Amino acid sequence: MATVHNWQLGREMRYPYEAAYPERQFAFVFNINRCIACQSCTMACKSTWTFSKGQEQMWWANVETKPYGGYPMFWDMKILELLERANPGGQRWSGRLSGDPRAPYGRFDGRTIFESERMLTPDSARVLGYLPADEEWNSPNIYEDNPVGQRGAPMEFHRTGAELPEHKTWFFYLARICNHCTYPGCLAACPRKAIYKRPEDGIVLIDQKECRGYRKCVEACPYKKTMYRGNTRVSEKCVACYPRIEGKDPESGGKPMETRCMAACIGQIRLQGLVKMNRDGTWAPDRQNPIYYLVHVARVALPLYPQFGTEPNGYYIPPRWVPRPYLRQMFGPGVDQAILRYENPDRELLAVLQLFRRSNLIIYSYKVEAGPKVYEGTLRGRRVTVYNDTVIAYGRGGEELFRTTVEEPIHVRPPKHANSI
Amino acid sequence: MPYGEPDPSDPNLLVGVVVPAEAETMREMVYVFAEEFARMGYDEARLLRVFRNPFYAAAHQAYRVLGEQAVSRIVSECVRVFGMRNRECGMGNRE
Repeated sequence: MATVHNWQLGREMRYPYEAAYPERQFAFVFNINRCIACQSCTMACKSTWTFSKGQEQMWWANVETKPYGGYPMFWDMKILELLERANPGGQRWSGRLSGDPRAPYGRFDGRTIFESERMLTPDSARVLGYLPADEEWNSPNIYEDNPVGQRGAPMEFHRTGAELPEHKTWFFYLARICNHCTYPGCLAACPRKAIYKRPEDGIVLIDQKECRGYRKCVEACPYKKTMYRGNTRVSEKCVACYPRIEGKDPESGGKPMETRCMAACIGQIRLQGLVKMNRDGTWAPDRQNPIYYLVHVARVALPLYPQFGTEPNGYYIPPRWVPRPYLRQMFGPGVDQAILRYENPDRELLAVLQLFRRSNLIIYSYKVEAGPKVYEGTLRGRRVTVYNDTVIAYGRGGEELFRTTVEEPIHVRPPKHANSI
Repeated sequence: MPYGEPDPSDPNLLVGVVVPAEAETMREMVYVFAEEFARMGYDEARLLRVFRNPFYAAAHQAYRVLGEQAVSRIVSECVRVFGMRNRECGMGNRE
């Protein structure tokens, strides 16, 4: 096994292959505080890719209701349990948060899915994981917020479900796609080396000609985002809508575009980009890249289950109302700081949050132009000052994509034209 | 979910499990909804309609637990800070 540096864990880590990093890395930020589980992302993924014979199951985006839901069922609980059994009581973090880009969240002292040898079966396996049963895959995004149908009546909701008791507790929606990890579990586990990471954008793909459907990738991906298809007998995974990232979508005019699931988000929770990478696997300083800013400067966006060890490139602004121990388990030790900053956004953060979903083109950098003070007062007893700054987004070539203000005007249709479609 | 009956011996099956929540969770949830929607340009009346509507399960649950007065106070507070200040450009004005 080679040794690589995992900056999300703040330490060196064993991985089956030598480190190799792309020039830029596909990465995204999801703001959970805004997600209403409308499933527009899910349907955008489905309608984009499942349009033809042989593509019936090319559908990878989902939104699940936490803490109860998951697709496949209990995916995160199961892998957390396996890791706990591999290292009882030892899955802990130490150190402290810092500005060090090689260890911003302190140090993870536990074991990753690549470092749990004693749990591996058979001995030839490289990554700790499990293969979900068929029934765990059979209802994506269904029955999580609705009562299950009657036995023997699949795909129907319970007729009197409204009378059932409701959950009188917290919950939130977790939107998920493949994290296009820096150290992918799927890639590490493939005995045929059919999975590769593209050097230009870090997107992880399966070579369908090389795949023989052994399902080692399905077993190894801790996020369960590679899936096996019975009728073609090969595995598939999210392709990050790579023709759009390459600027080959006719709509893009040759410019890199965000994926379909990002573009369809009506809750404006999603922002996707390409971050510059250093030769050592850390992110190259790129202060005005909005993804870099949210992850490394404002530090409001955190990786999903960093302790798995794959260095996922999906980052989440954690939901403010959820008990902290649950959030710390899901997003690591940076949660308290992230929520504190998000609750008290400074001038720049308020402006950057306005970049979400104002354009479908990938934003490479932004600039904030100072505007007038529009409010000074208190919120929950704290002093708050709001400025109506202008934020300007720039594309790959430095061209302006759009500009908007913190207090963006909204347009209301008159009742006469409420629906003009 | 599987269509079979729940297996009580399955340690992963959540059946009537109480998940601990901090006492202020509900209030925090109302603040989050109110702030986020105020930033998106909702005014006070529109935001309150979201809380009153049972279709929006989480918001409405908080509304029932905390009551109209408490929710209304939070909504006003958030709209005052992040809400509309001459932001509305009614498209109907063109007519």
